[in-house]
Amino acid sequence: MHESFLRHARWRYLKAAAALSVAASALYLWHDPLDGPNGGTWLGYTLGTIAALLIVWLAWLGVRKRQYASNLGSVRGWVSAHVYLGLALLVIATLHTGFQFGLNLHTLAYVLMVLVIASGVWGIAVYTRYPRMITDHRSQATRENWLEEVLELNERAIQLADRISPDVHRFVLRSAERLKIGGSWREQLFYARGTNAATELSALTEILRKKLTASDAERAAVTDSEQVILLTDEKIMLSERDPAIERLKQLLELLTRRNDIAARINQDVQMHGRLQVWLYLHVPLTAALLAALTAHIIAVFLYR
Amino acid sequence: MRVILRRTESLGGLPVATDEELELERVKVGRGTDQNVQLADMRVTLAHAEIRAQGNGWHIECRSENPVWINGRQMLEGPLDIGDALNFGRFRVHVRPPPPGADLLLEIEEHLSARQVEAARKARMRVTLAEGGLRKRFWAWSATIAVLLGLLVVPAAVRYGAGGEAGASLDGVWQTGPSSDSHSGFIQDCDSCHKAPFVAVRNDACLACHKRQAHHSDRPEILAIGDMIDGRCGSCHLEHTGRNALIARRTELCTDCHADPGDRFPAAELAPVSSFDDDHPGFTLSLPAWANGAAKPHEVAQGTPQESGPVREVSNLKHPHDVHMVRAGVASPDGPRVLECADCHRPMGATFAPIRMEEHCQSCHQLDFDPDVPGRRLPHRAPAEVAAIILDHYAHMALVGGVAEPEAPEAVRLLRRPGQTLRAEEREVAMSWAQTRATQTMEDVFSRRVCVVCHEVKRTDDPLKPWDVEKVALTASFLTGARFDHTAHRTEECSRCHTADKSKESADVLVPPLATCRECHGDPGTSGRMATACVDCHGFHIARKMVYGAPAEAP
Repeated sequence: MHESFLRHARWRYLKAAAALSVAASALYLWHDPLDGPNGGTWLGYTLGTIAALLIVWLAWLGVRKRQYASNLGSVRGWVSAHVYLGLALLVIATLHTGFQFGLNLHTLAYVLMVLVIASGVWGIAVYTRYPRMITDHRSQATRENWLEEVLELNERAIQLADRISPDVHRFVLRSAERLKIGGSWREQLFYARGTNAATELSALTEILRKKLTASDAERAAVTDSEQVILLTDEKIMLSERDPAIERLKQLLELLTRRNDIAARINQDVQMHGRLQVWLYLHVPLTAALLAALTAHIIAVFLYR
Repeated sequence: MRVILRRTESLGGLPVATDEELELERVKVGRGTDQNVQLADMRVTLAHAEIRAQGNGWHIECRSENPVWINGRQMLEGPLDIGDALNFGRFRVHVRPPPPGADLLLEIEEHLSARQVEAARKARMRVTLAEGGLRKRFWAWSATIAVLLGLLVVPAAVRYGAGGEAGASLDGVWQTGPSSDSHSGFIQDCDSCHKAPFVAVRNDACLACHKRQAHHSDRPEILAIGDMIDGRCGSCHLEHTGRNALIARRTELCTDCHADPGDRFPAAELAPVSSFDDDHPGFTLSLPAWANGAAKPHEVAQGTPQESGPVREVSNLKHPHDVHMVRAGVASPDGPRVLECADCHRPMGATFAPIRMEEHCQSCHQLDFDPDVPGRRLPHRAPAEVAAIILDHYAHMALVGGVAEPEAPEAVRLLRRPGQTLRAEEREVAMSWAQTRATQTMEDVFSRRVCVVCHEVKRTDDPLKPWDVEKVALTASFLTGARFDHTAHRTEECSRCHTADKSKESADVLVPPLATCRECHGDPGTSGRMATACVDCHGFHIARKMVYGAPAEAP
């Protein structure tokens, strides 16, 4: 069975991180410096140095995961260590502060670090949830298959529409142009329905309704695509397989299937987006943290 | 008009063009077989558009609501000019300059294969967050640059660059914690203390304001020891750690040396102190020492009664506390009066107002002159002055006459008329009587009834000052090396520490032993008692002559 990065090597890094946190906390409780716990005592400097090295090392994961040729441990091992030592960093750095906070550069660096860790925790949460959901949702297919199918269905719909009438052809053409897959990051994350399929379909329904119904009374009874399909079935029965009406029914089925697949793609895109969006906070915040950390170290030694 | 339709296609990588010349009213473009320009793309309608001549140019009009893309713009109709490119699905139609004899040249090109169209379609879909407009690197670099510029580069430039002159300061963002109240007036000017970058604040920065700050000792050989020379103000005085944290109150700061002063300061000859509770000498008291009738303060170790008997004070004042503290009250001229400690010991600042006879004693201890003359009082002055007043009194009586004493000579008893003077022999008798009476009264006042109640009195051979009173030396503060603030202890009963009501002798010293302090005060860290640091009682800057920043020299 696939082993999660969380339980990598029998929780090796969880144990290491816990040991580090406990040791730091014990030293902190034992230590009783002249001016109260702060970053400038020997323990403060020690914890600060460990925390700074940890931050640099944790940020190095961004480099390591791109080095496919590296022999320095598996990426899974690195991620496991990254997660647990990142959580331990919260303990180490908090003890480094001696719980002294204020409106200054130093607390900003700490806040950035907390935000980076919080976004990382968010990352852990989505990584334990979404990969399985994505797999279940895809059920053996790939997004590439779906995309190809959508494009093919579009082509077939256009061809079919062309054989029905120019206005239906034009409509299907436009529908194919407008078919919404993906979009801006907001649309990807929040509007999974994403396709304007429903309105498109109702517009087509309107066109077909006019084509299929003879009287206003009959027309009034047909309001949605399902009823149109029922109506076409009825017409097919009555007209003894009129090819024109059969094509209409086929077109409706093609478009319904196309929209269905497009919606699946958009849900897939949404889940992938939600799986990754935390990185768009985690990475820039890490960069800001490295900058603030640099400024913090320079500033505290500049004004000793 | 004469129209040339030029179809280009790639054959084996080489473009090949075939021209077709037609005489047409209008050029029909579409997918249908009846079209002049037939385009086999399902996105093109059967009859898509028509091009006809208009003025010097041409005009295109779509036959349906399916638009055409001209030079990248979508339109249903519009003018056409040479150089225009029209997109119909994967076909592109260029309007070229017509050769002589022709009115319109349209070059038709299948610029994308069906596969390319599909690829382009897929490429247009934005299915990742990055394609959707989220940019990691942009925000990473922006945040990095903003933090470095705003919080490091710009403050440093303002501080160390030319802009620093203007008094502008942004380096407050580097402050690590709340400043002390004492320094808050100038704390924003970081360079008032942080003179050089990457160097801990030096003493001269502190001494710039704290001029002539007293040193720890007056002895040059102690000040010459390394810890004293190198000692930084900042070792004990902590800034940016809280509003009232400027004086570090840690025991270790003192006991580092005082736990074993002989180790580094053998010349100091100090008792070791490592803990207030367990290792602290008793009080050393400042008591008067007498020589030739004058008192000088002199230090006496309090010790314990078991070791050396109680310490005794020779103040030359007779003041047994117990007789003043009786519950029923003392006999005063107005009847019994119960005395409080504060009746004599009036709090003044950390100590007490000096005790004065006129203020604190005289309302009871009235200086009677003579029981026969009840209204008359003596002043509390030097013995010679008092003697003169007594003699004057009786001389005056003798000269005025009319003294109602049967034993007195006649010259003194006779009442004289105004202006009548005594004869020489009468005057001699009268003055002799006056002298005798004065001598009796002086003996009575000095040695039996008045002065002797509180003072040590002795007879002298001096006729002008036949009696003398020993000088009194009251001690304002018994403690030599420590401060004791009575104000801070005003919530306690005096008797909590001072057993005045049981003190029978004036020589009793009522300073309580250190053990009494320990009932309430303990080392920092002990529970149940107040955490008390060395600096709560002792000062560090106690030198009387030596100051910081001055060259060490013998006092």
